[in-house]
Amino acid sequence: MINVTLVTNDGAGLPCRIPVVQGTTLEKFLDVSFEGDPADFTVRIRANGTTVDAHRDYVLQDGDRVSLAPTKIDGAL
Amino acid sequence: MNESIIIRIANQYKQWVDTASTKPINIKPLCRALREIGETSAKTSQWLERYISGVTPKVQNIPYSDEQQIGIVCQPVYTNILTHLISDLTQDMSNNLQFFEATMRNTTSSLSARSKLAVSLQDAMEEIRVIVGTWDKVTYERGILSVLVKNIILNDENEDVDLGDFEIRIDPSDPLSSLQIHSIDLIESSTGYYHPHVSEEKLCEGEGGPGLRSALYQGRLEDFFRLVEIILRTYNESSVHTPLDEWYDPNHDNQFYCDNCEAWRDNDDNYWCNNCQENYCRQCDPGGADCTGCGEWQCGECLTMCADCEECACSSCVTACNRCGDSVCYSCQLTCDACLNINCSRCVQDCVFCADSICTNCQESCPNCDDINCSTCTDESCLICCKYICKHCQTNCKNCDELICTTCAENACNDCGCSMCKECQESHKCLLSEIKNA
Repeated sequence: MINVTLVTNDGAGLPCRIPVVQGTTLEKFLDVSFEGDPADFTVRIRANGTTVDAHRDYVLQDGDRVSLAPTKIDGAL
Repeated sequence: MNESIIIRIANQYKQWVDTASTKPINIKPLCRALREIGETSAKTSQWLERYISGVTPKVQNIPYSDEQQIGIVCQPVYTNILTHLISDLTQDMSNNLQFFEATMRNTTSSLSARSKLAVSLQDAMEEIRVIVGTWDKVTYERGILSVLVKNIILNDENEDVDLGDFEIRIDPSDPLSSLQIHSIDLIESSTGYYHPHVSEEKLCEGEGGPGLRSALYQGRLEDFFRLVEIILRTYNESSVHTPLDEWYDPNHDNQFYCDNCEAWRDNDDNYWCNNCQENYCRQCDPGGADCTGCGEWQCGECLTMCADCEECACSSCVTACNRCGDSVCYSCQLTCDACLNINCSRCVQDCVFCADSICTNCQESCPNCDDINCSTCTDESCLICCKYICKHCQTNCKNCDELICTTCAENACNDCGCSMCKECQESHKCLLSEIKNA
């Protein structure tokens, strides 16, 4: 098992450290761990000190941080 | 960005996180406000009871019918509203507010405890390095970390509006309160904004507020900049400082178009030149003034300065001096009593004898005394020298009584002292002279 951190950037709660089976893809990870529609979010992976826009087939590594951010955030007065 | 700068930024940010995450949030003002709301609500309820209960409900009879039309509900229903419904509502409001206050206390205290995440210097440095690697231009100058976001294009139902590039700026030692959004290309709306959700470089975070704060407190500086960029790239037309159409189809309410700088300005800055029929704004500094004659405002180009009093006047209220051509206002104009032309004060003098105003063209100068006179007062010529002389310089031949000037009359008889014209002098036989000689 490996540990992957999930950040939803919605302001509620803290980053979650989630154990996953080694070899789990990003797509599968989000299906299980994230309730929202991934299409409404951009996903970036922080791995080994760099951040990349990961594709759905990316195989998660131990210590990766998956950061989700909405594609739209409404500013307001 | 070199390593020493990264370390400096990371250190500043880490210190802020360490301080901010342990500092409990002060909710006392919030609680006090909520208590006051509750008290006000209770007072309102009492006031409503006293006021409405004094109003007599009106009941209208329907013509040709035994039924009655109730304009306002009848007294029993009215009383129920006052004594039960409004009271229940206000009591519920008070209860809810108390519950909210308690909930807030519990929530914030738990948040304060949970936010104590350790952010190491290495973590902070990694965040800075990732930021440098993600955005094209990241700078650190005078203590401000700036990230360039390019090509902010917003769209509404009608148009795509390119607002250009922006810089997201923070002070790493206080990122939460120092956030500024700086427009690079200064693409301004007709109402003076560079972005619908940015006012005076302050971002209206809206839905993004909680996410931004969480990212900062948890040491996720890259996520912070990322979220700010997303807010800048999202157009929320329901809550804007100014709508997007002010960039491409402005209403220009309370505005006018300045012909000089070719921009829309507030009506308060409007100067209308009645002469050239153009609008100017305060920023163009048209240098105008109110005409000293008619009082109408005109721009600096259309105003003339009176050569005598140096007040500004419009072209309709000045006249060119007939002699020197200088502009003179109505108050300073002088009319030559001889030729009736308009002149300035420097081109007019008063006749020594009759005090008429005489322009330089109409002035006569007595060759004897050089006094300035009008032509009327110098219309007599000396019989001897034929010069036109003033009244002061006129005299008469004692013999023939012809008009001669005082200069020519100086050749008086040495014996009798009579002033005579030349002819009379030649034929003059002075008796005194004969007596002396005899």
